Amino acid sequence: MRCHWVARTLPALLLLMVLPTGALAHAEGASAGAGFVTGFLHPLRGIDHVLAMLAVGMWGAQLGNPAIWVLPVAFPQVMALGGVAGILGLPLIGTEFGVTVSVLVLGSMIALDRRPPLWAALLIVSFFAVFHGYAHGVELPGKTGAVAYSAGFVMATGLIHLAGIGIGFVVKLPHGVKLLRAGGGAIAAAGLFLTAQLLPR
Amino acid sequence: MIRTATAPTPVLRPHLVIPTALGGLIWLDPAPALAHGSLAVGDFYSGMLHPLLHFETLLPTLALALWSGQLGSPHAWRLPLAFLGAALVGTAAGILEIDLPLGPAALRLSMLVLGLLVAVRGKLPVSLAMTMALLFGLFDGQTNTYDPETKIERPFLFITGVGSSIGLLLFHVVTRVVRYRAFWVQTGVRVVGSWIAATGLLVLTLEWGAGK
Repeated sequence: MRCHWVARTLPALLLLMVLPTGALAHAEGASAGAGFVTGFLHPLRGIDHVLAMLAVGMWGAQLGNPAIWVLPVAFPQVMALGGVAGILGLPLIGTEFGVTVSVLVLGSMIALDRRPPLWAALLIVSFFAVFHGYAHGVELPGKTGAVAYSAGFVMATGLIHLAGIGIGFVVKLPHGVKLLRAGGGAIAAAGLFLTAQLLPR
Repeated sequence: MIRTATAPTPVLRPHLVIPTALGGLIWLDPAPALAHGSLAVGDFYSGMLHPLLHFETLLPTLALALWSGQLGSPHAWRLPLAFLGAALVGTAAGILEIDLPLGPAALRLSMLVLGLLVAVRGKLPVSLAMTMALLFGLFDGQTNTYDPETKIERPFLFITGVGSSIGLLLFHVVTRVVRYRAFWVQTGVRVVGSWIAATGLLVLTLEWGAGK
């Protein structure tokens, strides 16, 4: 019996993902090899970024076709544009504030089951994507290992997004719609808390 | 596509053709492969690993493979072959130390352009697509020789190694993208293209825009 092609190619893909770091670490010193790992871990470090990205995926799954596939394709581009602004040092006011507010807004959208037209959803998500990309763009390293770092950063961001879509598939279960909305509510609450922390006392 | 239980057996078995051709090529290499002291076949492995171990050469190749697969029939084999041929020429040029203008920048640009084409499932006239595959392949191949750590003693083996791994990667990715038309697979292809384009954009800015 032939197993599914995904099962057959997955080990090779995983190997491909791991190989560059391992091999480069030996061949070219720590900088290039560490680049991928550093870049990959970067989006995972901030809880606000992780929550917002999960929310983007969950909301996309809630909205269904076409948002479920348009968002993962469009998101990295907008994020990269934000990253470009960050690298070039263009002024953007309240970066961290923008990220926490988007956690609040995106979480609320899921909790309230809001279904705006695609362009409006894209606009809301783009708002977050620019801030997200900017926040990381400012901290990107110089020329050394730029490709590995950027690839790791983009891949991790995309994978959290896909994880959000995966969570969004709970709508297929009985009571799944309520479960998803509750999850959105939890994210919104976390967003409110994070935003409140940033406010001056 | 309807898949019947009694699919005709293909006469040409690609998974056998490639290893056989490779074995033949290595065997044809004039110098004795296992001379005393140094294991000279090392250059074959070094060449084979290079395109896969470096994101800067892996990502453009992957993007081209995904795009060719999306475009389907004539492109699906024309573009990868053009890219592969050009990559071999580029590697040879790199070994001969013939510098192509804008080498690294063009390679980053190829990530952005090919990635975006995959993301939007862009269609281009054959002539333009072929020109792009040839040009980007040239830069991709040449970049394999930039690594100062790599000492190439047997250029023939190194180029064979580069060609075999690029060829295998293209072959495997293109055939899968052509074959699996399921909605989520094709969406996944577009998502990966979008990731590659975003990486290209970030790297281009990091290396040339930051004014460092």
